[in-house]
Amino acid sequence: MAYDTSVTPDAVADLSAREMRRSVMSRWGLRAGVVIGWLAFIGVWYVFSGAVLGTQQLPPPHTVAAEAWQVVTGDGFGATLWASLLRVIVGCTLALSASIVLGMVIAYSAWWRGLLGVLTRFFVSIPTVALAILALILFGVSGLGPMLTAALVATPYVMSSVAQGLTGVDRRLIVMSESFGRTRSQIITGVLLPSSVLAVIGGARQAFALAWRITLLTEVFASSDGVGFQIRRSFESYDVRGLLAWTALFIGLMFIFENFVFRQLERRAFGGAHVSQATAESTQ
Amino acid sequence: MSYAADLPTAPEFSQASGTPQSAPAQAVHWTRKPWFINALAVAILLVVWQYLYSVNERVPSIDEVVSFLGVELGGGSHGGVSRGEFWGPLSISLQRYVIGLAIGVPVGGLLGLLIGGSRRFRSVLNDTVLVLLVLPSVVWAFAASLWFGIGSTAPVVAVVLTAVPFMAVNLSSGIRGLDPGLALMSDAFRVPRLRRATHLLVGGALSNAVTGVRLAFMTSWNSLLIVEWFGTASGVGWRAKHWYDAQRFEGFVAWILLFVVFITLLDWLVLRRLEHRSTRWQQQPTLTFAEGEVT
Repeated sequence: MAYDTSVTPDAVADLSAREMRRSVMSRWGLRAGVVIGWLAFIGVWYVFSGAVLGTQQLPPPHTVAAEAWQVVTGDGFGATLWASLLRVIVGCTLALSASIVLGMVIAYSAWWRGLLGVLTRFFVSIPTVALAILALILFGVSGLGPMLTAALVATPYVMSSVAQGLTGVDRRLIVMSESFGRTRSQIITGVLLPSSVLAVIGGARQAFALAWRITLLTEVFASSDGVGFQIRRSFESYDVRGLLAWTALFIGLMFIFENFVFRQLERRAFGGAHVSQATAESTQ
Repeated sequence: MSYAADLPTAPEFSQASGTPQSAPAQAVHWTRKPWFINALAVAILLVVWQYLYSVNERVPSIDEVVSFLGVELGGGSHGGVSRGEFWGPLSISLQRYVIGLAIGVPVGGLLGLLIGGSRRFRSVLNDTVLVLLVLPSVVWAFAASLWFGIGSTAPVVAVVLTAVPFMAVNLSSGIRGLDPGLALMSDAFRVPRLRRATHLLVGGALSNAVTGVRLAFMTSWNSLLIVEWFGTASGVGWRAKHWYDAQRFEGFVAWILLFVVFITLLDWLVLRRLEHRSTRWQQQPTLTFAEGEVT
């Protein structure tokens, strides 16, 4: 290993003098930087709340934290969260299953790619606020609107990332499998599926993030429960504290899902498909 | 930390990969011509609309919306004293949009430069920018209208706050994606700082910056509409809400169509061209050392 001859340009760059000097200091310096960043964020918040907007208009962080704690421990929090979460999960699942089918169609047929491309461009250019209100017109105040809007908005993005995952499969791998006499089903299970699993997980992650935001927005307009409804209620009663507390909880939830659900899923999938991932990266 | 991946970039379909394209010499069958596909897509949308109209009495019909559009654009009478208004609300909204972007894009670009260029700034500012990015625009809209009332300040602030994180994240990822080998080479050839900034930094990160501008334009249009819907008494968002509150859904749908037309025109006439120009220089080197492939 000491005489590894495969020195790539990247390795040279990594070993450059600047990197060496940095690596000693950087780790602790950067961690301190993150702490400084958060302290600065909270400090700026305090300054704005105390000196610029006033505590009535922008409550200081500790008030918002207390309010958030009260929301979490108060009754009805579980029901509110569950109402939104259920919509997000159903919307996400709908979007993901539609995208897998449509993604395959797009990846292997130029005609469908053209048609769906035109339709997608139309849907993407509708402002999401307009979609949320359209859902209100179509479904009235019900749980169905947020769910379907989330699915409709997330599908184009997820569809294209699934399609890219499928078309990004290294063709040389398929040629090689053919020349070693693998059957069609073996190629599908051994080459195509492992590389599309990563694309599907990436798509699911994207769908989840999008579905959360759209569900929230649609709940603001067309729902009588859920996180979005609570945000709207706070707004209508001029309750900035409640508005910020619910927002902070929402952001916290997104980070928790991102770090504890999708990163784990991805890590697990990388274990099974690291070979095809490596080739996909080198061909890009 | 990978919220950059959640950015709603417009879906693109790679035309190059996938099924092999037919040779240009062969005549393309008429069902594959772009005009046919476009017409088919429009027809599908119209059929879906007609179907929704027939099953749901709250959905306006196509001709209702078209005739409403005619009155609204032409300034005729909607019945009674209410007259069509189009240019007034549009010019107010465009003013807010342009002012907000003129502040938000440079500020976001500066932040992106700092975060992308220096690891110290990145460790300090990165989380804040991500929180701004994750924050739903409806919250900005609500907060801004509570703080600033129903004037023009709230929409402008919301546009700025939406544009900044998109610009910052895109530009910084572009700068961090620059080839470190090029920086080493510039060191070795003693390229002066200014030339390095213009050729390496601007040349390499320009396409990301333009993508950031494009996303900032698209998303801040959305939050402008939300603020105008909830917290102002003028502008296009307010006009759409006006017709919604009056239970004239044909007016509301007509305005949605106008929003779509506006953003599509902006995208086609300005943003796509910018993007195309900014990536035009990116040609493959004629001689590569990768696996002996000389293309």
